[in-house]
Amino acid sequence: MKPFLDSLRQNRLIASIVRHGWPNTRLNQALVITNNFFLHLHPVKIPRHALRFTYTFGLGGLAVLLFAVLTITGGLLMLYYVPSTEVAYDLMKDLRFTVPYGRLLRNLHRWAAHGMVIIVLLHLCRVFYTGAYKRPREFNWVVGFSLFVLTLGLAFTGYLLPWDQLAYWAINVGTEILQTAPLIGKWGRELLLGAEHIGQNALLRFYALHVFFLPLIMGLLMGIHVWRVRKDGGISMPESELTTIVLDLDDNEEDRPRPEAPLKTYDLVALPRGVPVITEREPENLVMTFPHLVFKEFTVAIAALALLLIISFVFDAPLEQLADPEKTPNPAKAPWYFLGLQEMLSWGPPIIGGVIVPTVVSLVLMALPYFDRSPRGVGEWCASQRWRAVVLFTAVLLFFTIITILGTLFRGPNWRFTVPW
Amino acid sequence: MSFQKVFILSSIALLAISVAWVVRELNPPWLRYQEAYHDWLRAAAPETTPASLQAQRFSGLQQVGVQALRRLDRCTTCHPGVADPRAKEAPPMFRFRPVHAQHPMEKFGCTLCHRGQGRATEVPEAHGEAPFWDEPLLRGVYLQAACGQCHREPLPTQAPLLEEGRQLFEVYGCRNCHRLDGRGRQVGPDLAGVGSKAPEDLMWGDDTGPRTLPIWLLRHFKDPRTFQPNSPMTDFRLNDAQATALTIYMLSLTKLEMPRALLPSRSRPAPQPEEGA
Repeated sequence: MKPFLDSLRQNRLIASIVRHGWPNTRLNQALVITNNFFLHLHPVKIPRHALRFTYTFGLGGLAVLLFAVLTITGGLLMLYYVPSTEVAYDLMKDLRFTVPYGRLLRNLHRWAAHGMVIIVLLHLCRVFYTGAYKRPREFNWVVGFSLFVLTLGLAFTGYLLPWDQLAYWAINVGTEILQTAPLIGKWGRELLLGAEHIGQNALLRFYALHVFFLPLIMGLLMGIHVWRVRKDGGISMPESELTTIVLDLDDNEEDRPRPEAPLKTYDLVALPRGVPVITEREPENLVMTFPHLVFKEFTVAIAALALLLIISFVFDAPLEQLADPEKTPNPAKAPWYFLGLQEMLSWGPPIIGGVIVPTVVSLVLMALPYFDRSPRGVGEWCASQRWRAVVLFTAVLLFFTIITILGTLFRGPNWRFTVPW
Repeated sequence: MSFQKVFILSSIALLAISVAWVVRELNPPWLRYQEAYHDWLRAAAPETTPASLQAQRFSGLQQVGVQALRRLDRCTTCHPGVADPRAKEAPPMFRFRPVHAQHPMEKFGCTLCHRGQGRATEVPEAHGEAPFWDEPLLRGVYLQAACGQCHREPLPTQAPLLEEGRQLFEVYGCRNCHRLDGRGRQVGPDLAGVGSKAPEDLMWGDDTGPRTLPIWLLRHFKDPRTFQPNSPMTDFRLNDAQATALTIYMLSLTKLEMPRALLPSRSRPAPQPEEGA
């Protein structure tokens, strides 16, 4: 094995692609990270704390993985799909029955999409419960929340494309919720649908949003989100674990106390223009990103992919009858992630359930880091100093979870209470 | 469980499920039907089987597209032979049917008469007997309903039950309450397109049994109050055969707009009377 690998290493083609040696030395393990386009998002070394699976559950990485799965399967589905009310439904049938691996593509795309809504929401909850949105990560929370909204937008626009009864009526109900917004509601719905009712224009607009505009914005924001994680010193962690690196770039600031010079330097560090890198603490609790973190990430990705393929094998993506504007199902339901809103709409004036509650909750959530400015309780789950925030957030989360489950499973014809069994 | 264990187990799972997907894709359920047909063909009619077919076990996915009907029927993938005169003696699911000689598949497809889901290549989806497909296969005597979609002339030998149903409709004076082809009173529902109704369009009451249009019609004819206890419809005390005949006639009254080119010359419809005439 070893001679074979060595001969591989000496191959000029391979050496030109992989420009570092076998990663059994610290130098090469560092080069694995810095010389690889995908891995260079990581620092060469990370705090041991960041390795703890139960701190993040790999949720951010899973969201990226699902986005990649969705991009690849979505791109392949585009080879077959035509956003036309005449043929879209027939093409769903062809994907299911005759396109090679069409069933796999559509099932994977469908379940990965639902999965991504759930994973992104869980990631949001993780960041909340660990207080990770606090200084200096306030704005990244805003970016992250926007990514959550974009995920919902992508899921919603994709929902219409199969052009079956499920798609048609879910989008009908969903856009009717939008219409309850005062002043801009009706206008917004027409802008989205390109007409007063869902038809060819709406299908084309949803398609363009789904395959171009929203993924473009999403990709950009994802880049910013991950980049900022890195710029903000990696994932959040308790102050006790912090190894602060203070880069003092402003030479003119005389009255600022100069930190002492480091006792020890890193194995590998780039010094920007000779400015000293000062650490408050010795970096003993750092570990090499490769192999420690990379191995864990790889494992989670493999497990997630296996699970996704198994789910896709067992459960086919739903497809009901061809969309028929004349035949309203009873009850007509929005996609599940909006059923909490639909449930609230059924309680009383639409302005409350459709507009005030979602808007206020979204705005408060989005601006959360600017309300909750206490720097305490970062880096651990549900820190006791933050009990008020934790209780409040949990209450809101539980409320939305319960009404979503209520709307999804316990509402039958005429939105009457039913039991699903 | 350590990450090493998770890594090994997930890798095995990923490999296994990938293999499962490939196996599934390479073995569509229709392969074994084609294999059975080719085996039969080689055994039963070796002299008529072209040399090219001798060694062949499969003919691949088959489909018949009918542009005028916007239909694509893949039924012959599992049912090869139904339009092949060599297969007169073949097992029922492959057997040649003489009626197909007068109704060439390239012109009519399959589902126009048989219903079911033409694009599907698996049972029960292809037979239209899976959820979310409103046109289940017309089985057995019910297939006679298909003839009535185009043939308005009497078909006493080809479709005796359809014919009986048409006669019962006139004999029992159904038009005293129901309108059909623009004639008849409108006490009960207009029967235009009744043969295209989906199960959701029908009143099922508290009934929890299987829901298809033929089942509803049959039980409704035998007892009009079986689904709607206060239905004003007259109970004609029909026997099973009569109820079946009427059901077949109703099933023939579809919403399909048949291209003129497909209609039999003898029964191209006369100009319809004006509404209210």
